[in-house]
Amino acid sequence: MKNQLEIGGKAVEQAARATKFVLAVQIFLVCTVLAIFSMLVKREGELHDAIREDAIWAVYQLDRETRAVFEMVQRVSHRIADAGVEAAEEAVAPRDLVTRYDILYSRLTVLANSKYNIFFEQSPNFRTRLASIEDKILAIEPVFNGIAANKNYTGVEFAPVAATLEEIRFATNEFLVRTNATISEARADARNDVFQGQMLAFLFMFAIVVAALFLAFHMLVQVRIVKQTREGMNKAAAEFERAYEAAEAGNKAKSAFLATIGHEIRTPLNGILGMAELLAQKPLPAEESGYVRTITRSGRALLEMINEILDYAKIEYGSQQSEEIIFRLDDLVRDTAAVVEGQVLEQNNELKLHIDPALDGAFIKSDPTRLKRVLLNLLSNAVKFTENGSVWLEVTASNVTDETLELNVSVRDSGIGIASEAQKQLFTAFHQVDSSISRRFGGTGLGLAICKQIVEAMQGTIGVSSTPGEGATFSFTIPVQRAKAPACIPGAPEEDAALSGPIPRLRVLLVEDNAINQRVAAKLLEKLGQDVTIACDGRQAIKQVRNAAFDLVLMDVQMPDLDGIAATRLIRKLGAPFDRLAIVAMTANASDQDRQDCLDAGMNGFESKPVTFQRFAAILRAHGPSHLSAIDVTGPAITASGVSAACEPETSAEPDAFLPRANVVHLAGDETGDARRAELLEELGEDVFQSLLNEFFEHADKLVPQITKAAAEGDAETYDRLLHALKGASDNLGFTALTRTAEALRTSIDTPNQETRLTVELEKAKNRYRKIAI
Amino acid sequence: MRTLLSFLAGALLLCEAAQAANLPAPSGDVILVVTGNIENTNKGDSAEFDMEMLESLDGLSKTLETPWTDGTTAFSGPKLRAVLEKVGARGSKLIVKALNDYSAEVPMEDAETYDTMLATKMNGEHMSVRNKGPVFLIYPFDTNPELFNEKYFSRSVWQIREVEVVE
Repeated sequence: MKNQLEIGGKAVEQAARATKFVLAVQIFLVCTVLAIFSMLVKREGELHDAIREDAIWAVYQLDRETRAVFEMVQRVSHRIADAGVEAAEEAVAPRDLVTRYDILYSRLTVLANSKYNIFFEQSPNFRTRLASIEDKILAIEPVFNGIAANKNYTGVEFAPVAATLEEIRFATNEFLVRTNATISEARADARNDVFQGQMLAFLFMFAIVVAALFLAFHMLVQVRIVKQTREGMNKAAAEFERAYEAAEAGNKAKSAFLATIGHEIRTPLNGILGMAELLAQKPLPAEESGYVRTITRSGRALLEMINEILDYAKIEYGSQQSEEIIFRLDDLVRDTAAVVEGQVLEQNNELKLHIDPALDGAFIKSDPTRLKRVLLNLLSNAVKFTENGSVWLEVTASNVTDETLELNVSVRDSGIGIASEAQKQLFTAFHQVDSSISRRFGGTGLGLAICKQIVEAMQGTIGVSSTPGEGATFSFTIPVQRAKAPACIPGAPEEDAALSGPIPRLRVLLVEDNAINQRVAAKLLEKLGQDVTIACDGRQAIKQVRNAAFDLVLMDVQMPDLDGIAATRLIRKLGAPFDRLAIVAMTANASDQDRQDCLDAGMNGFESKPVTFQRFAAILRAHGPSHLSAIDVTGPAITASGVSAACEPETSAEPDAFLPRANVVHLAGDETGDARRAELLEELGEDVFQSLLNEFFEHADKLVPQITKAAAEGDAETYDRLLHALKGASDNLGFTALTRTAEALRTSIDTPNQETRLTVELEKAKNRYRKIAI
Repeated sequence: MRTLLSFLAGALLLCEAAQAANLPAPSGDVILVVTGNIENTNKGDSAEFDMEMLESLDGLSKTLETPWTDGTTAFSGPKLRAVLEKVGARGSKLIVKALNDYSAEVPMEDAETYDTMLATKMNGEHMSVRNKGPVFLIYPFDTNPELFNEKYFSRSVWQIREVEVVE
């Protein structure tokens, strides 16, 4: 693959060099030919030939005129000899004779023209010949001048004139013959020159043609090379693609494997942990108590590790979607710090928190779950690797604009520190500083890799600086949007009231289509001293709202026929006083969009299902008019510290964060469910709880065959409705696995083994309940 | 074309006038004879000119280079056109004959299109036969450089004796 690329590259380079060379040769040849042609053209332009022709014509005329004068003179002299001067004058007018001589004379001036010099100077003979001819013509001039003056031939001696003219005639004849010979030679030479020039030009032309042919051939070769290279590249690209796909498929398989294994390990582990906790509540001898604590601690460590691995797999494949939620930053930071408080005390550390005053009480829009995740990881690392020392958490803002700011978070500890060569690899997956670390401190080595991925996904940067033995500073920076406090979040004083104040007694309309959920919610609300009216769907809710006065409507969002959102819109449309009626959504879907839809419809708040006892209390406090008579409700959960603000989105998305035990470990899966049931048991009392559970199991036992039937009949609507009902109820009672299975089955009516899967989960749930009920 | 037409019209008018009063006979030596298809004559079918008659016609002076003279040379004399008008010449070409029996054919357009001159003076002097005289047909090589080639050189007849107008 690489080889192909290299060969292609070399071929192209060579071809380019050769092309340049051939082009240079071509240009040289063309220039030469141009030079030769211009030389030829110039020679032609010099009119050499024309001058030569003129010269020979002039010499010929000289000879001719000499003959004409000679003949005329002879005629005159014969006539004089035969018939006397007068007869001669009659035969040849003296004026004509003179004119004839004048013409001959004029030929001399023509020949004297300088332009013939080029020619006559070729041979010294020419000048001498011409000079002697000229002398002779001029020698007889006085005779003709006399005739011209006298206009007769009287007393003229023609014999010497004729003799001279005869000499001139021989001379001019000789001159003409010589000139002709010379000119023929010159012409031949010139022709030869031209021929040679032409030959030369032809040779160069030939060379150009050869070069052009070579160039053409060369280009053909190049085209072929380019084609081959392209094919090679395509092949290489295809191979790359295949390799990439293979790698990706491998990775996907890996993450699928991790998810499966993780899930399979988690289920029994939850069982172990659950049993251990139940065991811990029994009165045990000290030694056994220690064992149980060890089991719990080890189990939790294992659970944490598995959760991290699963998270990493999820993040790596982008399956974990990010959210954009408005939340209060300082609360999030404090909550997170509170989570590690126990650990801090265990390690005999001190945790110091500094939040930029500018950020105190500020709301930002970001992904609180992920932010908390990173923060928690860095904090627990710092605490873990520090003993009898300090951990500083500092949160500052920089580059603050009207809409955005950069959040700088640094976690500094006075722990063991990290060697500089190890720092680079810290953020690599499955890497720990050295293997002894995992033995000593535990952990997967995934935490920081997850942090890095999260921070980078949020367009931020994360880094570390450390001096071994003196501690380490981990810091990250992420850009976040600034936000205003959402309307549903009450201000600080109210918040305190929501946390710990008395719970007002309200007239509450509970809109819920699921019977179990109705009962659970109603029981919890009754426990909180509320007057609860129940509506089974959106239409009933509207009717009830119009018929009786309510202080608060708790609205299930997903209901058949008229859902919570539509019902809320209709209630708002009724006009005053219904436009100010407090309506809080309850839904199992907790995405950004769902929140927005609820708020858009005119709801005042939003709660994730299942709604805990504490959340109900918080909602009641938040929406209860202060003038209403309050009842005093006491309970350990209500006064518990670390409870977050009312209807704060980021915390509501994580119901387990409110659970007492959740401060230490992220609870997941069935453990959450156990907590839920524990809460219900606590709040509703054993009788009510048991009757609820029995009712649920009875109901579920009926639902399963109905679901199977609907699936067999292909009735998608009924199938979905029944599963939704089952899911909602089981979620409310904390049967997480059953909830998940029901939800999974909803995605397709054609899912195989529906009945088996549901039955298995239902039986598991029954077992679990029985175990807890022991 | 317009000039040609006006010229022809003018020529016809002249012919009319010339019919009545034919060419006067030359008083000096005859230096040029125009023969052939001409309207106006003064000796038989031909028109004879002496120097005085020629120089009385519409003429011009030019200083130019020729292949037969060294450097620039001044020529002056009547326009060929003027001479032809004078004799009422009608034809397509002229046969210009020299004293030495040299002759050249000159298309009539050369007289009409160009300011061709029947030069009688070179550098201000009358030309003797010995010096290409008495009449030399000069093409305007100065104003029309495209004429400077062998084609017109051969038409540039010197020692002119006769101009014959041919149909």
